[in-house]
Amino acid sequence: MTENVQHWINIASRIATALMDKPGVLLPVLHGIQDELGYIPAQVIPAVAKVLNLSRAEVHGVVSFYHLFRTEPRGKKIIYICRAESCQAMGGRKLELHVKERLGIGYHETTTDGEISLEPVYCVGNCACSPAIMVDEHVHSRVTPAVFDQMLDEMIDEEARATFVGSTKSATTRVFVPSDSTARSLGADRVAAAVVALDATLNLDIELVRTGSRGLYGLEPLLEIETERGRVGFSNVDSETVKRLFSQGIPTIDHRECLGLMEEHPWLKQPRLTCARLGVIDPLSVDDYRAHEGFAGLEAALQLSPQAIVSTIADSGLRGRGGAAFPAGIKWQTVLDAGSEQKYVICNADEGDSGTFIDRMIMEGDPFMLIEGMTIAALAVGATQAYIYIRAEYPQAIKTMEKALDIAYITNHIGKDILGSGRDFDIEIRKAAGAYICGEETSMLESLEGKRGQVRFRPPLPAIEGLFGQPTLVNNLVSLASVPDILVKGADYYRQIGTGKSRGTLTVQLAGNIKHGGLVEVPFGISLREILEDFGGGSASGRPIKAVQAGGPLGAYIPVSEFDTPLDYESFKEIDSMLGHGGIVAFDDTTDLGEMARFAMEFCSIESCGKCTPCRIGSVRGVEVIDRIRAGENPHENRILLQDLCDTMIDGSLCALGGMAPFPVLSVMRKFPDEL
Amino acid sequence: MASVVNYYRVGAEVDLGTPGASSSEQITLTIDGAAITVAKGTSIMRAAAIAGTNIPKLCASEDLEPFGSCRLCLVEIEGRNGYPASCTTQVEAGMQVQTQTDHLAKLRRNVMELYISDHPLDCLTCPANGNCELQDMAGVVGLRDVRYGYDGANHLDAPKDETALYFTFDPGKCIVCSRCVRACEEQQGTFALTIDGRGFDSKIAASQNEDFLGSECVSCGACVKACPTATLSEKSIIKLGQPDKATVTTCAYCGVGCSFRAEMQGDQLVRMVPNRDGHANHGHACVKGRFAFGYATHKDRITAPLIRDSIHDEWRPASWEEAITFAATRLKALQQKYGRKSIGGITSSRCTNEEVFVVQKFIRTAVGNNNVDTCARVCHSPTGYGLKTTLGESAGTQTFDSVMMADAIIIIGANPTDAHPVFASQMKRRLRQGASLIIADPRAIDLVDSPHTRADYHLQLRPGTNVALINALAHTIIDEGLEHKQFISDRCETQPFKVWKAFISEQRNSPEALEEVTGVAAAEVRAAARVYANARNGAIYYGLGVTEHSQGSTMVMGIANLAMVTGNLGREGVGVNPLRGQNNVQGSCDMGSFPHELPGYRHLSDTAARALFEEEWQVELDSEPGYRIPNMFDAAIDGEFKGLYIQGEDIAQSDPDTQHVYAALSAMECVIVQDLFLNETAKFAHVFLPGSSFLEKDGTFTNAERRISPVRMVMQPKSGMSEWEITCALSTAMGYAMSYEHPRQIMEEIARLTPTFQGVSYEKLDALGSIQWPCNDQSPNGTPFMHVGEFVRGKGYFAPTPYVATDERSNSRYPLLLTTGRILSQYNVGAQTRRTENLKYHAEDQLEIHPDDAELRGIVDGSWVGIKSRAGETVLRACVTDRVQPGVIYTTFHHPESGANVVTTDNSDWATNCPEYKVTAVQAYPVSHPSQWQEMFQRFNREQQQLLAAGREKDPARERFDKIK
Repeated sequence: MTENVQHWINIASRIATALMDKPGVLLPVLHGIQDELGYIPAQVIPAVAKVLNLSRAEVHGVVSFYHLFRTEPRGKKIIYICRAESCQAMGGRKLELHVKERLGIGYHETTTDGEISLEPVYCVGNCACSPAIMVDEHVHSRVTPAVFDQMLDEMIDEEARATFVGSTKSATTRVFVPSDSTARSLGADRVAAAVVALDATLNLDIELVRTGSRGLYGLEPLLEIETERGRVGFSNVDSETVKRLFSQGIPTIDHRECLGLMEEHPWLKQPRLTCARLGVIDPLSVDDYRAHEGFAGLEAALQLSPQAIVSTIADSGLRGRGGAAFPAGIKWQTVLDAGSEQKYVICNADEGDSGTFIDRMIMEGDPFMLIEGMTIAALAVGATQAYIYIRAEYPQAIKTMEKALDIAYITNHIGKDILGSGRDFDIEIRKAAGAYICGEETSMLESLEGKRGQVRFRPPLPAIEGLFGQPTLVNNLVSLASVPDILVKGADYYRQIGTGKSRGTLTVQLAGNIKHGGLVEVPFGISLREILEDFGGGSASGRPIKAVQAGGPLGAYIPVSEFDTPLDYESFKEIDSMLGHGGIVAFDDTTDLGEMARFAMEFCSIESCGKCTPCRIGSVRGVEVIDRIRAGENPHENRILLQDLCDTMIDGSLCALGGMAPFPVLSVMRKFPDEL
Repeated sequence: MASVVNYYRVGAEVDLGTPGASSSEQITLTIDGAAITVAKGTSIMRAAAIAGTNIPKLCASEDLEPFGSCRLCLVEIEGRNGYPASCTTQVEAGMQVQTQTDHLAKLRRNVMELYISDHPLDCLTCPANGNCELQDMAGVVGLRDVRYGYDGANHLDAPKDETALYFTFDPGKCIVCSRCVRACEEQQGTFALTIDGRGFDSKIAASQNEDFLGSECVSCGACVKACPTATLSEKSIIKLGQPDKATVTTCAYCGVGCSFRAEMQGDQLVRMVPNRDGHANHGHACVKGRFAFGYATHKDRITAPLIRDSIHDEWRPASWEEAITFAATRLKALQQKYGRKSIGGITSSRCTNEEVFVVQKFIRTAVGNNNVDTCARVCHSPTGYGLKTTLGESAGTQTFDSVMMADAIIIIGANPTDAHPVFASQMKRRLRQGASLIIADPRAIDLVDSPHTRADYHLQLRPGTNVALINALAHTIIDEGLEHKQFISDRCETQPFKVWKAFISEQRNSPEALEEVTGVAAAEVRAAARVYANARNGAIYYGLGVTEHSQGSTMVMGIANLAMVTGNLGREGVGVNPLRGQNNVQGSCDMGSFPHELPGYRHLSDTAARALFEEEWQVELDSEPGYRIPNMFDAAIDGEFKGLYIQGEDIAQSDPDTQHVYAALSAMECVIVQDLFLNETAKFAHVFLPGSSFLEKDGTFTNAERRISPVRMVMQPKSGMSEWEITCALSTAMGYAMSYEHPRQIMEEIARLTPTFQGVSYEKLDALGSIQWPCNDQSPNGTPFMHVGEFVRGKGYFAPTPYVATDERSNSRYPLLLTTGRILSQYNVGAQTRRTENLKYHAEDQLEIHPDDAELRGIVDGSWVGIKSRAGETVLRACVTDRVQPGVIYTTFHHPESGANVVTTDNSDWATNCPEYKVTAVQAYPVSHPSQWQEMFQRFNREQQQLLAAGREKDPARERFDKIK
């Protein structure tokens, strides 16, 4: 054994030993090793297995399951190219080809000089500014081939990168610059740096506040200044703009470039409940959070019995925002009623759907809201331990959440004897490792237990037999984030918003080929067309929108003729579509929807856990059959076969991935018959 | 020749798809319109199968938890959306299930079409042809066409792995049902298999996607049995084809006593498949029973009787008549010359109850003395003595299944994953469910720390200090008031308990006082004692690490005391469980193999018992106990013991102080060995009577849980004579006529003579599959748990157990303590397993030595080490490892040339003479040559092999030697 290998083994053993007392800790251990060594050498696996009381086979099986675990050395930098639909809608495929050609490598390869590794990624939550790439942990927006070439040059010159500047000390004038990763990808860090630099030279007495983003990504980087009349905004700011704006001192609402008062901005004519604090507060300031109703829900909940909290949620009509729209109250009640000493709360923050980024925005922009919602949930169902399962493709969200958790512990909002209530509650963040399927709740449970993310059959429901076999409340991030507000304002208040059985607001995320991409929180019931036209402003390319895909990669392609459908769960079901997590990806008339149908099957084949046959084999055959149809081979027979395959996957698959991957295909076959 | 009757109905195993449910609540539902009532928790699939409807399936098996991946078993349920899988959906009252509709038929056909689009179409040349579930299901769903064609992505070219010794892995045929992975996890508990990659790239992989041979796989064969296709296939199936008939029989390795289906073509054994209905193994097996049966047809088998006048003469082939007459004449002559007591016999724990019974009967009748002993003398005789004394019966108290109710498990001096692997798998299942585990062993056995098993306490005591440790544990329980007062006052004798309590409470028995002796920290001992005493159910399992000591019997009593003082006897989940080494240790003891006991553990001094036998056998029995094996050796060396009939035991390799054994054997004038091979003992023999393998026998074995299981003849005895017939012929030739037509008659005689076997018969064995004795009027179907309500002896007896250090203590001359044990792939003296592919797993015995001790002596891993004790000296290859503690070395004794027993001494248990194999004071040092003994062994072995070969050369009927090659 070489000295090097022994050194690796020592590191791996140290990392594993430090974490071994936590249950199901294999993924954190593997991440720890990969963070230190750059990859997971096969030679360290026996040591990891030994410490964690696992077999080598189990550890190997887990490493090989997750796309983000590497078993070979990586380049100094990793470039992740987003291949998801939203990026494809904005020329992602062209970019992919260009990058491969420019670097001279394919996916999972490293340049011969060892500098750059290239990996595909399926969404980095930057869908409002597609196409996106991520270099290590930094997202880049609207990357054209030319932009990529420029980036590559800058990358060689490290100095060119702006470093992150956080909030500064309190001072007379508060200036707000988002720290949201999309805003940063558009240059928010350079803006912040410029503000600080200018303050230092001109002595403007500025307090820089790094906020989340309001989700007006068309305007980012957005700079806001607190005035007596309220916060005024300046859009699409860069460091030159900063110099210009502040050349005559602090600019006012009368500055010719000023957007005016932000709260009067037409885009923000949204009844924001869940997203009210996004872009407004410093995500890591408890004071700021409390000043904006933060923790009021928790304080209210601490006065209530578990049943009273659950009843409040049930009465509010809140339905799960992850896509299945299951009534939250029923799920909570089931966990509350399950008799067990140990129960868990899990926040599903594995936001893998293309076109969605609200989870990321909340984690980066208002993390205490999630912590508060989870704590209320734990009080309600009787859990003492929670996990937030966050996708690894959201490095900044993870960092912000981690800091927020630390602060929440220090300020006793979680931990032992929360706010003197006598209740204990712990939250741990678990980082995923590149598996879309782990957004499926049972496969996420497996992942949290340190296993391959293979789907479990149901029943038993996780609410009865979930994590480590115990009753477990698994909710989507937005569902949990909606909770504090319901506790503060009451069930009735929440219930009166919305339409039909869809109560409250929907956090729509506008993405793809759209002029004004971003976050639109609206009551259920508004039409798709209103969203696309009034908020979205039409396509980014200026060409007619041909279709939208709603609800992520498993959602149907919706033709223009159905754009008047109201946004609510039932109406979308009527058009064989779904709202899902609220992502809407627009495509203009240049899109080849046959290719998108093929991609739906390809995506399923890439992300299939491999457990059930219809998904494992069917998705691969789906790609092949579509290829044959597109190549004109026995199109009639092959269309019948494709229809049969889709039916088999829908009726036969074990979980929603295989069961819904045919939806986009069928929608193209039915609604765009000329394209496939 | 016995008539060969196949008593047993043989049919293919039926697989109901999912495990049964244990609920007493009954649920009624309708399946395809017909009502059926099953236990709550039953799957729809199983309910349908019980009702006679086989829902198509591929990933489901009765042996495994439901998985729900293949999607063939989908059904329609009235009022429910979609198509639930019948394997993962449990029955509910009033449920209306349709298993066959047009839509389901299409769905299943389409799923099958996907499977076959990635599967080779070589059914006719495939090893699974005729026994392939994929093929069956394609037929059942009516697949006629694969519209995807065959040129899409596929795995057909995936390379085969043929490294495993007994099976091959052909991923090109894999359907990724994960049955193998699940079998490895759920049944075997090794977790050696996983899936590499995901989605379409999912591939079954051993360990880190490596060769099976180098992986964590222990070749138990569970994955092979679970595989529905030819992906995992026995090499014997590939070579020979599918079997056409099967007979259920019992494995002849180890005391677990697994039930197997011996699958045959004609009289050719194709494979051994563990029997799901086997009560000891529930369809599981280990590498030995499952695969290592090739010795039965090995070229070394001797199938013709051999005789010679002196051990330096060539062997002469003889007819049976000639050989029997030769032996009987010699034995009679010896008795005439040296007296009635100058000859004796040894029964074998590997032979059937019936075979053992006739040997002891032969000694007591034809020979006319009680010079009969058994190889249990050298393993579990202290168990018999200790448990009889304290509880009243010389046997373990539980069934194996009882472990599933144990909350705290103590393992003392046993290595279940190696020596009792199938039971170990069951125990691991319970440990994974959360039972606590305490291990007392000088060496870190696998259970101390292996995947999903980790001992809460490993009390790593010094060899020879068992009694000190058990006393410290008991002391803690009394000291901390953890005893079960009610149980003690209700169930145990008062006065002995008081005496014992006073004794155990003495400060000298405290963990603190004994820390120096045992080397185990007092705090650890106390903590472990608390875990056991506070558990709802505490169970103790032990092996030869308990018995093979100078205080072996004391330790067994100490264990019984510990169980009694905590009330851990007389119900499920508790008990004192000796793990018997050989397949029929329990049975050979039950059958009256001891010089002082008649069958059923009745002492010779019991005149009523003796009268019963005298009446049945029509002969007057000697009331004086005969020689134990060590006494036989001593008497032989003293010139008083001259003839020995040895049934299937290799004392020259297995008994301690080899040079002493050699001297004794050399001093005898007529040694008769009945065995399969020219074993080490046979090299000192004058008569060799060819025995038969378990595949050639009818009879019964009794396992460690007192379970009598049928052994069934699947092929004719190669020698032409059953072993019991040989003994009967010898007896008859000696003047006491013995004749039976079939072993069933021997069992009838046993039942007549033995109260605990009173209800046992072959008919009942047929009906029940197996029976745990006692089986009599009180418990006509046998007894899973003993001492329920009352101990066999009435009240439990607390025997004081003062610790007395062994004479085998390390000193400056012999500073290390040698202890011995077994490994998974080899069995005992290795006579069987060394003649199989298992040899490749363990080609030589090695000496485990701690790195500190090795470094001190300049011993490096893989180098030759001399070991010397006051008895002898041998040389082994070093394996430097921290499995052993400093000051302790360890080896196995599977190869005769290793000479492990050259080093062990004549120290033995004070009560039973069981040798102290587990503690020998030795010195170790680097060497470059074999020891003197080993050189002598090689010379002697060469000579004897030549004498055998020369005899064979001259045999006019030489083909008899070769007929089975």
